[in-house]
Amino acid sequence: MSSLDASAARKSRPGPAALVVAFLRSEIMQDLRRDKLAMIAAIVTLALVLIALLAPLIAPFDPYDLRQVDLLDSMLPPAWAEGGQAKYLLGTDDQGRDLLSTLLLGLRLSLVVALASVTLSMAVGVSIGLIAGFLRGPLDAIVMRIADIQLSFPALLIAFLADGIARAALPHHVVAEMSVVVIVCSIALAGWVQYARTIRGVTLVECDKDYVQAARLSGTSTLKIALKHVLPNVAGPSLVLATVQIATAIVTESTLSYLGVGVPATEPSLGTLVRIGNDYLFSGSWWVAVFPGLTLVAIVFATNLLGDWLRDATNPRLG
Amino acid sequence: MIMFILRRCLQAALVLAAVSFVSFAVFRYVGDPVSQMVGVDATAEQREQIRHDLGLDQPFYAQFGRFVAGAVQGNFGLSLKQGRPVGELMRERVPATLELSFVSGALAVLVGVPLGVVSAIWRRSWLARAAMALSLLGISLPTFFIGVVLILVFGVEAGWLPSFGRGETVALGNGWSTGLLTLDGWRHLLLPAITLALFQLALIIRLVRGEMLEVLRSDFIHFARARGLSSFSIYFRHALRNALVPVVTIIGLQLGSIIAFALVTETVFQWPGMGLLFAQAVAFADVPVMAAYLCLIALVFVTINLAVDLLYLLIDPRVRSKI
Repeated sequence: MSSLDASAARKSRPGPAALVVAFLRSEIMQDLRRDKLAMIAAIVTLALVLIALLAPLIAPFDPYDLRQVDLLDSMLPPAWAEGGQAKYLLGTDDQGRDLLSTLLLGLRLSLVVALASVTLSMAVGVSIGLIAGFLRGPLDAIVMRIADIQLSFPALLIAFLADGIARAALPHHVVAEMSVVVIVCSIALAGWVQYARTIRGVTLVECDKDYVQAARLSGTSTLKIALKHVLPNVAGPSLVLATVQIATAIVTESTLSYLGVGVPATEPSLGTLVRIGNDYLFSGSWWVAVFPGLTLVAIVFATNLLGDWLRDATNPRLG
Repeated sequence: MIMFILRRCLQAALVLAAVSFVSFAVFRYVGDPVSQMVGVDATAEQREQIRHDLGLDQPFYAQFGRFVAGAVQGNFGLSLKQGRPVGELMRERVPATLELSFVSGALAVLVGVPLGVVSAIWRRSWLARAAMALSLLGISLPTFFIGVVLILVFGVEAGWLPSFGRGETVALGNGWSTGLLTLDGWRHLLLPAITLALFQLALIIRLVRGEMLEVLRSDFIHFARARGLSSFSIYFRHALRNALVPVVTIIGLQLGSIIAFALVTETVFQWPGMGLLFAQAVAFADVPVMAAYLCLIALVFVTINLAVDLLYLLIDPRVRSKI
C-alpha cells in the first residue's frame, strides 16, 4: 500500500478516542445508562475483569511461589479478626497461602476458563448451526436430533460426565497437566447446542432472503455466501447468547472444581478454594470458603444481569 | 395420535440404546480395572485370573450383550472401589436421593407458585419485590455455595441443625429406608432440601409471574372484569388455571434436573444418595458405578420427558388437534 493510500485511510478512519466517544454515545450505551441496575452490573463486571487481568500485579504475594509460603502461617483469620495478621488481609488457607492473592488469581483462572469455554462452544455451535442451516437434509436432521437429546439433560450434568469420562480415560499425568483444557472442553461440549439451534434457525431465515438468492445467482460459492454474507448477520444473536452463557460457564466451572473434578488445588480457581474451605468450616475457619464464594456470587450476579439486559436491549420486539 | 405416541416411544428407546452403548464403552475401555484391583506386586497369573473372573477376556459383542442383559436386571458388576455389587449399592442409595428430590420439589412448588402469583398481581408490593430479589439470587447463586452458607449459618454458628448425613432412618423392608418418619431425619433433611429447592424455586417464581402477567393482559380477563366477577375468582379460577399449563410442563421437566442437581447438594451435605456415590465414583474412576449411574439417570430423564410429552397431549387440546 502506498503512503498516499495509507494516509487517506487514516483520515477516513476515526481515531481511537473518537471511537470511544461514538461508542459511549451509541444507542446501546444510552440504553445502559437509563437502566441503573444494568449500569451497576456493567461497572462491577468491568471492575472484576480489570482486577482479574491485573491480578499478578495487585496480589500482595505470589501464592504459587513456595518460597513465599510458610506453613506456620496456615489458617490465619482475616486481618481484622482476632489472631489475624495485617499482611494477610483476608487471612490464609490451609497451606499458608495469602487468601487475597490466591483469590485474585483464582478469579482470573475462573474467568479465563469461562471465556475460553464460551468461545469454544460458540465457535463449534455456530459452525454446526451454519452448516446444518445451509445444507439441510439428513445431516441437519441428525445434528438437530442429537441437539434435542442433549438439551433434555442439564448442561451441568453433561459437563460433569464429560469431565469424569475424560479423567478416567486419559493417563494420570496428562490429566494433571491438562485439567484446565479438559474442563474447558467439557463445558464447551455442554454448551454448543444453544448456539447451534439458534444459528441454524437464523440461517434458515437468512437463506430465503433476496441477498442470498442474488449472491447464488451471481455465482458466489456456497462457502463464501456462508462466511461473508450470512455469518455477519447471525453474529449478533450468537454474541448475545455468549454473554448470557458466560455466567452459566462460570457456575459450571466452579461447581466442577468444587466437586473435585475441575481445577486442581495447586493452582486453585474460586470453586476449588470453596472446596478447600469446606473442609475447615467446622473448625470455625469460615473465611477460606466465604470470600471466594462471595467473589463468585458477585461476578455471576453481575454477568447474569448484564446478559439479561443485553438480551432485552437487542430484542427489537421488546423495544 | 397413536403414531405420535409410538414415534416418541421409539425415540426414547433409541436414546436409551445410545446411552447404554456409551456407558458400556466407558465401562469397558476406560482405565484398567485389573491394575486398580490388584496390588503393584501381583503376578501375571493373578492378573490373568482376575481378568478372566471379570470376563474381560471375552469378545466385544459378548461383553456388550452381557452388559445390557445385566443392566436390564440392575446388575452392573462389582464396584472397583468397594468391591460390592453396584446394583446393591445403588438400591441402598436410591431412597435417600428420591426423598431429598421430592421434598425439595414440593418445597419449590408450594412456595414458588403462590409467590409467583402474588408478584404478578401486586407487582409493586414489597412482597413482590422480595420474591423477585429472591428469585434473582436463587438463579445466580451456585448451589454448592448456598449449601456452604447454610451449613455455616445454621449448622456451625447457630448450631440449630445437623449439616451432614441422613440422621436416624427407619427401615421399611425390601432395602428401602426412610428418614421421613423420625424428627431427626427431618432435621437432617431441611438444609439439603432448601439448598436443592432454591434454584427451582427461583425458576418457578419467574415462570409463574411471567405467565400470569401474560394471561392477565388477555381479553378474557378483561371480559371477566367487565362481567363483574370478584378479583379472587378472576385471579385464581380464570387466570391461574391458564397460566399453569406451561408451568406444569416445566415443573415436570425440572424433576429430572432436581435429581441431577442432587449430585451437588448431596456432596455438600454428605447425603448418602446416588449423586454422592457417583461424585465419589468419578473422583476415584470407579467405572462400573459411573456406567450404572449414566444408565439410570438416562432412564429417569427419558421417562420424565416421555411422560411430560404425553401429559401435554392430555392437558392441552390445541396440541392434540395439531398432530
